[in-house]
Formats: sequence, C-alpha cells, structure tokens
Amino acid sequence: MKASPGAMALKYFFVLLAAAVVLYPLLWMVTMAFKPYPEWTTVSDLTWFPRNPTLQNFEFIFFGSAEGLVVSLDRTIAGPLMASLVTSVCGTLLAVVAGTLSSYAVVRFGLAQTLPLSVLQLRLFPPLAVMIPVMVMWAFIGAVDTWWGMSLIYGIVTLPFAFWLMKTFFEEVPVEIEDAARVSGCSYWRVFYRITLPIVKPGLATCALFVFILNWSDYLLALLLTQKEWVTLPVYMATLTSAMGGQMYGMKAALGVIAAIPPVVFGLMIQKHLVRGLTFGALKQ
Amino acid sequence: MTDAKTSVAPNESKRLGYWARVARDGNKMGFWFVLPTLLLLLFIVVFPLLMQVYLSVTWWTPLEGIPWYRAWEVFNWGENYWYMLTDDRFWGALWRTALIMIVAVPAQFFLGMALAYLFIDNFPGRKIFYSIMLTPMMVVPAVVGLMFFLLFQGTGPVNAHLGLPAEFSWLTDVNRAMISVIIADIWQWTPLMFLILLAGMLGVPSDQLLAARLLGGSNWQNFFKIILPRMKAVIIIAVVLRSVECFKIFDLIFIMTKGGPGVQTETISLFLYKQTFGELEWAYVATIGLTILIVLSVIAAKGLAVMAKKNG
Amino acid sequence: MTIRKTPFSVPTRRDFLRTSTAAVAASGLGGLGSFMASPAHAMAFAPGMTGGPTGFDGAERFQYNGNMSEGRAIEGIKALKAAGKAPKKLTMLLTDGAIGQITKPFPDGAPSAKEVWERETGIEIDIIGAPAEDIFKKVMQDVTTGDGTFDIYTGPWNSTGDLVSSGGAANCSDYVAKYQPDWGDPERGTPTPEMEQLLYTYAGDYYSFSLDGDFQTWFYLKGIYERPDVQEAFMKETGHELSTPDTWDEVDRISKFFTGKDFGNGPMYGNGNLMSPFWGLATFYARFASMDFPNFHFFDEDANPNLNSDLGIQCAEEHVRSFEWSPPDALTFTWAEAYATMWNLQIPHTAIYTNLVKFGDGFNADGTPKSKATGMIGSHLPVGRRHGDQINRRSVLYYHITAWVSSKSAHQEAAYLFMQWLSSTRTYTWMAGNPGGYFDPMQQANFKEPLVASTYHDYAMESIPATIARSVPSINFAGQTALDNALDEELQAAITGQKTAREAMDAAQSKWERVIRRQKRNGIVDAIKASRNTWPSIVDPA
Repeated sequence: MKASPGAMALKYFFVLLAAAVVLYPLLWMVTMAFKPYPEWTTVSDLTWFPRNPTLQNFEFIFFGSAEGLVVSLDRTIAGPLMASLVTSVCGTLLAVVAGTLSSYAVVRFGLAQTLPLSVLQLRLFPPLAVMIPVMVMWAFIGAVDTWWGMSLIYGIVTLPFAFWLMKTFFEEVPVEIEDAARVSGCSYWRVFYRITLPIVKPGLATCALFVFILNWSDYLLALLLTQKEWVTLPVYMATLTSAMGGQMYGMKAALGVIAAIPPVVFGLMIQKHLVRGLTFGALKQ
Repeated sequence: MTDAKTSVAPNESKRLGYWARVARDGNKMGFWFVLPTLLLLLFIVVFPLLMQVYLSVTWWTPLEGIPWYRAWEVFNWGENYWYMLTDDRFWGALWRTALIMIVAVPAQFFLGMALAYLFIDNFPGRKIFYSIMLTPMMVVPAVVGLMFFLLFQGTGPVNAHLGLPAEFSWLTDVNRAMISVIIADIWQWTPLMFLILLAGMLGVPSDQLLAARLLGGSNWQNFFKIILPRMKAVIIIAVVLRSVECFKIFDLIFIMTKGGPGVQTETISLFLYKQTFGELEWAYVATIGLTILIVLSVIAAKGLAVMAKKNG
Repeated sequence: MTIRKTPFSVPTRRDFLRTSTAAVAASGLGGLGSFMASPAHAMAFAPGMTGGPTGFDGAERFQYNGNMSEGRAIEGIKALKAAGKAPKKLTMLLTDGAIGQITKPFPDGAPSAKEVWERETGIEIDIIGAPAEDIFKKVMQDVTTGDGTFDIYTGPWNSTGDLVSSGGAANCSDYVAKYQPDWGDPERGTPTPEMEQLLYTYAGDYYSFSLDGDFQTWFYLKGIYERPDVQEAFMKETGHELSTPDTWDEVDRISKFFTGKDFGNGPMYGNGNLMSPFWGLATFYARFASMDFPNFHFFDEDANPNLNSDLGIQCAEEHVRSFEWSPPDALTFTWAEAYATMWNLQIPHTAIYTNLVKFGDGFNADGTPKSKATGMIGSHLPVGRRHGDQINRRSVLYYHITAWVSSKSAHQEAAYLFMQWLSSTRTYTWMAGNPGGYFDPMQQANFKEPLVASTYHDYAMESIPATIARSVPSINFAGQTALDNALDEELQAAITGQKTAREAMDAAQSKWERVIRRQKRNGIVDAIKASRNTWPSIVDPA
C-alpha cells in the first residue's frame, strides 16, 4: 500500500523533527567536547560546531593538564574509567551467572515459582529507601569503596533483568531437544551445559550486554558506596570542577561522551532484544 | 557452583560422587542453580528490612554517638511515623514526584505513541531513524543530566536560540527548574515508550489492519478501532514501567539542580538523600523507606490481583 | 541563529562570566609560570631557620625553626618517623576551590605548600576534591560507612558540632598540649582569645583547624560614593550625606537610593548582599544579631528560638524588604555571581566574603585590571543598630572552611601535625596570600603580611580583623543542618512572596522547636547555652 506523496512528506517532516529533537542535546555535548574554552558558552557567540576544534579537553582528562590551560587535575580519568569497567563487568558476570542458572531451574524444573515475582520486586523500590541498611552492611563487611563491593551490589540490582531475560530465552528452547538428549542418556547437567546453553548463546550475549549497560549507567550506587579509589565515571564527571569553582563544561562534555559511547554502541547492537529486556520479557519483538 | 568436570559420561554410572548425582537429579541440580540467586536476594532483603523496622521506631541518628545496633536505647514508640505524617517537606517532595509522573509519563506516552505510529510502515531510512530514536534511552542518565545542564545554562544554546537573555535562568528559577527537569526526563524516556508501543503495534495482526484499510476506514478510525484495543496490555506495561522508574528519579535531577532552587525540584529520592547525608536523620529515613516499601508492595499486589482477575 | 544582544547593560551573567573567567585565568597564570622554579634557592634558609618556603623575596618571613609552631610539627613528624609510626601518605578531603592554595606555588619562584611539606617530611599529601556545598555530605558518608579512607576532612565550620557528635572528628586536645600550635598567639594568632576558642574548639576540646576567614565583611564602591554628583543627588533625595553606613537603617537608605540609578555604568541595584538559599542565611543572621543590645541571640537563655519574637519578625521584614533592591536573579547567586555584580559596578555595597577583592580588585599579571571595579573598592566596619549613644556593629561567621582529623584515621597524630603545620601562622599567612584558592586571612599575622595585603589590599587589612572581633557565630551544634535548612526554606518562602515575614517566622520557629526537641538527647540545649557565651561584647560609640 502506497501512501500519497503529501502524506509521505508529512511523515518525513515529523520524523526529521523528532530526529532533530533527539540529536539537539547530544550534538551540543559532543561538539562541546571538542571546543576550546572561549566557545563553551554563548557569551561571545553561539557556535554549533567548534570553530577551533581541539582535543585539549580529552587531553586534560586523560593526562591531568593540557597545553594552554592554566588549571590542572590531580586525578585523571584513568582510575574512574578502570573502576567503571571492572565493576560493571564483574557485576554483569555475577548477575548473568546467577540469573541464568536460576531462571533455567525455574523454567525447566518448575522450582521456586515465587522467585520471578520476588526478583521483580527489587526493581520496584527507590534505592534510597533501602540504602541506609545496605550502606551499613557494606561498611560492616568492608565492601565500601572496593571493586568487589561495587560488583556485588551491581550484580544484585541487575539480577532481575538477567533473570527475566534469560527466562524468556530458555522458554523458547523446545523441551523436545532436551528430552531427546536425556533419553539418549545425558545427565541434566550435560544437557544444560552441552545442549541448552549453546542454543541460548546469542541470548546470553544479549543479556550480558544489556546488563552491562545497566551497570555502566549507574550513578546513585556508586555515589553512595564509593569514596575515592573506586569512584566510577558518572560520579567522577559530576564532581569535576575547576580549582576556582568554575564549571569545566568542555571536560565534562568530553567525559560525558566517553561515558555515553559504550552503552549506545552496545544498545544499538542488541536493538532487537531491547524490548524484551526492558519489559522483563513481557514483550518480544 | 557446579563444575563441568563433575558431569560424568552415561556409561560410568558406578561410584558416583555427590556432584555427579546432582547432575543426574533434576531437582537437586535445580536447587543448586537457584541457590546463588536466593542467597543474593536474602542478603539484600532480610537484613535491610529488619534493620529498617528496628531503626524506624527509634531516634537513632549518626549523631547519637552510639552504634546503630544500640538504637533501642533511644526507643521512641514510633514517633517518627507521626513526624512523617506532619512533615511538610516530605509531602512536598512526594507531591513533586507525583507532579513529574503526572506530566512526564503521559507526555512520553503520547509522543511515543505518535512516533510509533510514524514507524509502523516501512519507509526509506526507517532503520536509521529508528536507531536515532532509540539513542536517548541508552545514554547514561547522569550524562543526560549533564547534557541538559549544559543546554539550560543561562549562556547555553537554549536561551541563545529562543532569543532570551543570559539572565533568563532555567535551572535556578523557581518554576522553570521543574520544567527543565521534566523536559530532560521526557527526552530520555520517550524512546522507551516508543520502543514498547511500536512493538505492540507491530504485534497487531497485519491481516486485520489490511482488512480494515480495504474496507475504507480512515487512518484514525483504524487506529482507534483496530490498533488501540489490541494494544491494551502493551500500553499498561509501558505506562507502569515508566511510572515505577519515574517515581525513583534521582540521577537527572541530582546533576541538573541538586533538588534546587530551594526544594523546588526535590523529589522523594532527593529528599531521602538529603535527609540521609544532610540532616542525618537516619531513623527517619528508615521510617519513610519502610513506609514506601509497604505502600508500593500493597499497590503492586493489588495491581497484580486486578490484572489476574481481568485476564482470568 | 541569532543571539539577542541586550540593548542596555543590565547586569548580565555573560558580563559576569567574562569578568570572572578573566580573573580566574589570571590568578592561575601567576602561579603556573613559575612552576619550574629553579632549585638553586632550595636550601637558602634565613639564619636560624630550619624549614619553610624558599626562593623568593621575603621567604624568610614564612620560615621557621624548632621553636616555632610549624617547626614543632616537623620535629614531631621526625620523632614519629624515628619510632616507625609515620605513614607514607596522608589523604585529605578538601573543598575543590581551595586545592590550588596548597598545590600552586606562590609567589614567583616559590614552591607550593605541598612541596615544602613533602620535602621536609617525606610524607605525601593526597588531596581529594569535593564541591563546597556538598563536601560535608561526603564527610558524613565516610564517617558512617567508610573505614579510614581520609585522614583529614574539611567542610564548613558550622558542621563541627554534627561531626563531633557523630564521633567522626578526633579529639586533638592532647596533641595541642604536646605540640603547642600558635593559633592563639597574642601577637600572631586570632584577633581575640574568644575567637581561638570558637574556631578551634568544640565543647571545650580541640577538634577543628581553621583554614578560612569567612566573616562577612563590608565592601563599598568608594569610587562612586565619593563622586560629587552622587553625593549631591543623595543629599537631595534623602536629606543625608552619603557616607559609609553605620547602621542597617542607613544601609537600607543607601540601597534604596541606588536602585535604578545610573551613574554612567548602567542602572544599579542597591542591595549587594547574598539573599540566595544557603548563602543568604549569613545576611539574615548578621542583621538578626544586632536587633537588641549588645546582641540579639538566635535563642534565649532556655534555648527557645527567638525567631518569631517581635524583633525577630521585624528583622525578617527588613530582610525581605531589602530584596526589593537586589538584582533580579539574586536568589540564584552564589558568592561568585554576587562578587561579579560589584566588579561590574552594579551594586554600591555588600557584606560578603573577603576574597571579593582578591579576585576583583587590582591588576592581572599582564597589567589589565581584574575588573571594572579595580581601584574603586573600599571597606568599612560592620553595621549594627544605634542603642542610645552606642552602636553594636555585628557581622557573622558562616561557612568558613575548617579541617578535622578523622577519628578513623590510622595516623591521627601525623594528620594532626600536618594540620598544625598548615594552619600555624607562618604557613597559613603564606598560603592566605596565594590567589590559587579561597582560604581567606583571619590571623593577626596574616594582616601584617605584605603578600596578603598585596592580594587583599590595604583597605581590608584593618577592616577584616575589626570585623572578626565583632562577629557572632552562626549555628554550629549538632542538628545545625536541620536548623539552617528549616530557616532557609521559610526565609525563601517569604522573599518570594509565598508567605508574609510573620508567617514565615512562625513556621520557622515551630520547625526549630521541633528540631530542638528531637535533638535534646544530644545535648543541644547545653550547646546553645554554651554558644551564647562566645558572642562578642564589643560595642562602638555612635
């Protein structure tokens, strides 16, 4: 069915408008990251694209100083970048392993039927409503400002996503295949490990990327549970101000770009499964 | 955790170790599979819940000079609950949270629906535009906060484009701060609505659509009579998901305004944060946290019951 | 894409940014150029001196030996090292705007304070920055859940009570007795012995290290006050001579006069005082303190708030009215934007932090003036009220960056010694002159120092110590955040017209009573009573 040219034009108009609205803030931040200091604000003039493009913002956050800048930085991006990577990856591992195993047990063996709803409830509450006990616990076991403490909390809070996502993937695996393998004498473990897991491998990868994005995007937990050694990128970004209390827009934008790239890239990679992940498997595309 | 080495080949069925027996018993293996998740859940639920119940009936704050487990020394017979009921700032924060939900979620819904409708048919470039539309929700919320913080500076591009002077402040104005925050939230999360609603729309059987079109119904009629009724479940999912997340909103506001000016953008999460580290009223925060847990659980249970009833 | 140019030069944020960034850039440049100071001067101590900065003219004034406070601290570290009890590194949580004062060399040819310390003791100082408004949240986070991440905290002086009550600050009284810092030295230390008690002790013990001079000090545009045409216009309109104000009534009269007037620099606003949330509380407290003679306390003898007393309400009404004469977006100002209004000649006077003149008066390294106000600023004593033939001039101590040794630190003694070294009169004087950050002068030695005078200007060298002697403490006992927030919220409601001053004060009163009831167990009543005794009694003839 072909739409009339007029309708088509109207459609493109709205689509382009929406795209412009979406890109406007992104573009401002991305170009800001490449602007030298005088172009950061519209004080002199508004510039969309840097007139004197520069990498000095990136240079500054990576090396602590940059040519032509009088301010310097005591702590560079290296630590926070590392912290974000390590804690997100470890948290993802924890969530995916625990989520995969338990969802398989729920789907195949019909165990723990209340588990799906219980894990879902974790997502219902504002984290700050329960953070005081968590902080006390973390302090008690010495997990505050450690890589494993952060990984642990990340693993727990993203477990519901991993669980539900993997649950939908396992549900799609035909029971017949497993049964056939069982009949031919495979143990349950072998069926799971050799037959089912390879089948859901793409799903597993999707799940890991999805959970990684969630962990990487966290701000609040890192704000509450780190102090200095394991401060993550978003927390570091938010506290970056110059020695004179001025806002270092360009550097913050550069940091923002760096922080934004992995989730956007991964997100687009698993586009097809986003709906499934975000609705806890209630919807598929 | 089970280990690959423990699985045994089918013909070596004698002298089985514990793990090998587990591997051959579905229920036993299932137990070990569920265990890590259960432990994590217990770890994060049981102790915090008990501690909150305990603290909420005391005066205890870190200023007390005694460790929290000795909080019984300052038992207060639940006075915190009374304090909460009469605390203007708490109710104000709750109201502002509700306000953001009331404005942002419907806005996201309508925009998302409109966008989804644009994308229901294929058109040249659809794939690229689809990816562009999804980008905002993948950006780290804290970075979104930063982006809008930059946009809404007095000397930022928004004022420049609208021809407003630099002293037309957004983030520090009593009313406009809230508007800025809501705009940022709408920008970031409309794509989620779009994504879910589009999936729902595409799920409407195309033959029904085709039939409706052949019968000559207008696009509007098709939309309201054919598409919408079939999307009910999807719409509920999308709106509930967004509402829950919106209630928790923190990162965006914390980076853009810190809840300011004054308390003008202070939502429940920011209120709790400030009570925790500013006023240091930990027992009070525990009281509010516990109340929120209970109220939300009741609502969730009721909601599920209603859903089940309708489906059944 | 066009930008509307504002047709007339009202105080715009763009102007402010232009001016202030220039000042920022300039202050940074001065230090960095000399970062690679040649080590040739390295060991050139003045005769009899064993430590301190070297390599510039006058360095001997900041050098010390074992008989001086700094020297005793260094000797202390050496003893700790010998006993194997010294750490390799001390970690300090510091307001980010002040880091430069410790890490940037000043003046040309000098090392930075950090370098001097590290050279003399071999103990590295690791500084973690945090924004001024948020730093205490970070401190409390460490106190409640941390495990000794930081050896030294910094934050607002007002929070000392909260920190001590929570057990987060180490009691340093024994160290003070052992190492004898010169904070209270009659020649070089705080202007009054009471001030030493106020700044360095809490409930009778030493906990805090004063690193700032946040006593709201009055500055005015001398260059405009003294112009004959301005004088004449003022006389004509008000029937009074235009001179620096002695009382709040006169302040308000001047504010009213200047609002909307244009004396060649664009239309002016009359009231330059901070009115915004958090920062504006200081203005209110200062006005409040002089309502009665010699002082009007925030609480009566029985620790009941005085907010909704007749005088309290009158004060609130005056405070709210004075907002009429403020720049339109004054409610969004932090001190930085407020400074800019004076630098751009948009306000005639303000009571504010003293680095207003450090960053805005004088000339940059390249010879350009730091702001339009260069050469035009003067300073005067705080204002008060006439009671008979006397005036009780009052200012207020508010914010004031203060350091504490963490009770969780594994190296409290070493941390204490570093803080004694940093806050003793020689090192501190040297740092206070450094334009790399916002530690302000407050010790007598600071005001006698040419380097400090060169950045803070001669006119402030007398008015600041006189202001300190007339300053009342703002709230600094456990529960402070709750009290300040409650009052702040109500004041803002009154200023923005959501409540009348009376309604706001009634509401604030009941909120305060509630906080006090809740904090009673923590000894808030005793703290309030003790605090009353630290108020100044000095009054001036009218």
